[in-house]
Amino acid sequence: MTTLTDIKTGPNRVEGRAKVSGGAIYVNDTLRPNLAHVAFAGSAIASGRIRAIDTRAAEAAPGVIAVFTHETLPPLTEPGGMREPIVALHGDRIHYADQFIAAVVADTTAAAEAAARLITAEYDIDTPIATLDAAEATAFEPEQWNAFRTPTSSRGDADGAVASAPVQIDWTVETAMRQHNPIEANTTAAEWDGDRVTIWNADQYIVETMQIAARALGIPEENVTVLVDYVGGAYGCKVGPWPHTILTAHIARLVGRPVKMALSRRQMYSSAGHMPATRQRIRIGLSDDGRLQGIVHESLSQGPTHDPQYCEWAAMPSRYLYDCENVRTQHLVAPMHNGAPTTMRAPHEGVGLFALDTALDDVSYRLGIDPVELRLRNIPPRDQHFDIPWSTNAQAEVYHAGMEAFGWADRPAEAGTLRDGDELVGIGMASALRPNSKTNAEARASVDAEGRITVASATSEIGTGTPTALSIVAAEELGLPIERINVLMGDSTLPPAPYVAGSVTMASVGSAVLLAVRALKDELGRIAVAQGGSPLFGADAASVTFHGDVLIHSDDPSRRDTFASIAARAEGGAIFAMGRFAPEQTGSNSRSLGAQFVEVRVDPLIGRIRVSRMLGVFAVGRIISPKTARSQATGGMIWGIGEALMEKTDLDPRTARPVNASFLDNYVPVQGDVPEIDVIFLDDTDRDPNPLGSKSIGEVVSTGVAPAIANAIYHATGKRLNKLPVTSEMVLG
Amino acid sequence: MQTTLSINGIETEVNAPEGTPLLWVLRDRLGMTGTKFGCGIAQCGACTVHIDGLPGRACVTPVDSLDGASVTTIEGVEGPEADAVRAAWTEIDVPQCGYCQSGQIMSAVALLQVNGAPDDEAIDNAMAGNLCRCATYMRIRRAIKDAATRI
Ligand code: FES
Ligand code: FES
Repeated sequence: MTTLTDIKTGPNRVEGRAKVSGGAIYVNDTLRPNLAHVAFAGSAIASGRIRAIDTRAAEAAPGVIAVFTHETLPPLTEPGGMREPIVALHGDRIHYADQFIAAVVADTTAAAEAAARLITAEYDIDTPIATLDAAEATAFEPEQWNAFRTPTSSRGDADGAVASAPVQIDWTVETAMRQHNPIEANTTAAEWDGDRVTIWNADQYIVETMQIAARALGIPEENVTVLVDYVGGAYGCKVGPWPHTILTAHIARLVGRPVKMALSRRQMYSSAGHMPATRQRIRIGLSDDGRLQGIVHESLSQGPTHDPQYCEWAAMPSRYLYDCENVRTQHLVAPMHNGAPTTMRAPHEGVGLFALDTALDDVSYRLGIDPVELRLRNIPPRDQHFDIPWSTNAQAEVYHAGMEAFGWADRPAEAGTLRDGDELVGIGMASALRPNSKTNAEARASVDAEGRITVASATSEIGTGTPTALSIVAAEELGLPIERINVLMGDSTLPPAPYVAGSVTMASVGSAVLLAVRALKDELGRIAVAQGGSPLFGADAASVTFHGDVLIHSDDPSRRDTFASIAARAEGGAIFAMGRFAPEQTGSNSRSLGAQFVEVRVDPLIGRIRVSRMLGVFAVGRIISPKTARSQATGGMIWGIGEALMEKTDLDPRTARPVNASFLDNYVPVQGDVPEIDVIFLDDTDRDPNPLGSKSIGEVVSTGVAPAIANAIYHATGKRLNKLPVTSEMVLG
Repeated sequence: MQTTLSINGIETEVNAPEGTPLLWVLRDRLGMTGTKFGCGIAQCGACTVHIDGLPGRACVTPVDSLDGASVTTIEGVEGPEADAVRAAWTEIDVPQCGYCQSGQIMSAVALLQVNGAPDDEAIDNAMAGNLCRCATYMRIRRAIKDAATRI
């Protein structure tokens, strides 16, 4: 029996009060005495060289403290490892439109921005590469990222199997360049004290920012502290430092004052990453009864010309979503004159599923097999890419639960047959998939003489609910209410945590917190039996049992002690323990899986497409924090509506300038776009990958939405669309 | 330019160059950072405040246009609607990153002050200008209805 989740179930978000009172502090709220403000002026061209730059008017403008260009800024050491190398203000070369050409420091943000607008430059202009078509000729094979993210793969004889299959589909799709567009733009503040610097950064990876800043600024890591209380949305564009982060810290040292800068909304379209556009060709061969014989999935993704490292690994789902012994995949990157792309919710699988799951949907109609039934016939018995078993695989249960809860049985098989008044109605589905990811993390647990329990790790809260989930992990392990747990995060001097991205945090930091709390209990027991003043003095540590924060002798319950008393007697009045999580190679693999079921309504006269009902079913391990997990799920599904129907950054094909770099004409979902959404989390506890039994949630929830919507549009209209975002014109055309 | 206005019930004198947006006065001069900056061109709603009881965008409202006006921000909004909204917001887990939520709450309170039982359409219209990239919309709709029953 599967049940829909309800948002009122489970503990409230621990920082909820701060977030409804205006009390939550974001980087732009940083107030420092004598704070100066930085604004960057941007390049008018996308490719070429700065011939001359005139800063005189800006320097003379009211409130201006300093102006820096590539000619006057003392260069930084290229630190390596960044999402984008520091090319801005380092040399005269322009690689993309709006690349910083000058930094203005002024007393106020308004003065800095006004002066930045007074800067003019002359350029030697090269013709920019502004479309995938133009870039294709110079496409190259990217470097491998890790054991899974490799540019090519081949098992069996995929091309031969497709060519000899009785049923074949050859299908090409395109997905758009998109922006993360957090409402809080990327923001940095920095303040020096001698040769030590504090950097406040809206950041999903403060540990990496600390490390990279130290290298670039030429100071030891222990001289850099990176802080962030709350991050105002991230979705991938705040993973570690961007050039503006490091430049801001550099400028603070040069002007001898604390400084702050926020990217302008326009700069959010060039200088903090984007999801690159892709063109994917997928060829699939099936047997007459719908069993996959071969898949060839080739992807071309938009790269920058100045930094070859990012690839959208879009062909990934073909490697491990369905049962197929013959699979070949290939990735190429086509360099264009745009800013550096980066991971954006949900990378790789999120883009590749649009090719794979619309192709399968199409072929299901040709075979006369129900789309869900087709997927049920192709559930992989093991991880065929790595040739190892699954530790858990609830894929069939996902489809069955979705069909039942969505009323799939009532859906007519034929496309174009459902109507409601003047509107065409369609029902479609697609699979959702991401790897179940985890990585090294450390946490510290402590208790003080007042009995306050604290868990600490250098992760940050980007809205996913990490403080709440970590409180729950610690509270459950201790048998105490979550109000008793104090969570410390957002400070790079705390035990190191990984990036808050790739959906790794719960499994990684959550496990580290669990291990730290267990270690703290061990430590408390060990110390109590050795403490002269403790009623447990001299007892065997093994005979001590824990009841919340009370330790009781199992043979003599009158002998008891408390966390607070043990800590009070300890040196320094507190007791600490560390937890270190390092994932083991277990010889099996698991995935974060799901399926999206969607109902759309299409107005055949004006082509308006409306998502009217949506269900997500997910097998994502044990759910630690029901409220925040559910919010992640619905938020991710709405994110997918944006991907399917709205989001696209248009580059001018002649100048490579973004032509819709604002909320005015770069659309994201708003209140009226959002239907009722139901969520089912299946019981899928998997303790193989980590002791919590959790899995990755934050990205899988959005992955199937776009193909499910496209499939529902086909069911409504009989039109098979192959471009994201799907627009009214395409439906009418 | 000298302007006298009431901010959260406190008479405040502001001397700012003509055209200075209210948002900069609140955040940079008065240190009231609860009201957020998202776009600066009235397209996101993060800076929503109440001006003489009506929702307005502080990023495009020159402070010199507010002589004698009464401004309420997230730090100062109170009363039965505000209490109900905050309680519903917390229980229904509306905020995710929270960045847009000062604006969402100010718009929601303003809606409930004029419409005690808003339906979906009224909510969609009143909240249309408040973007939330975390996409808390479904819970906003439910929380506004929930808040209406608490008042
Ligand atoms: S900052 Fe005012 S509406 Fe966006
Ligand atoms: S809660 Fe993150 S933008 Fe609304």
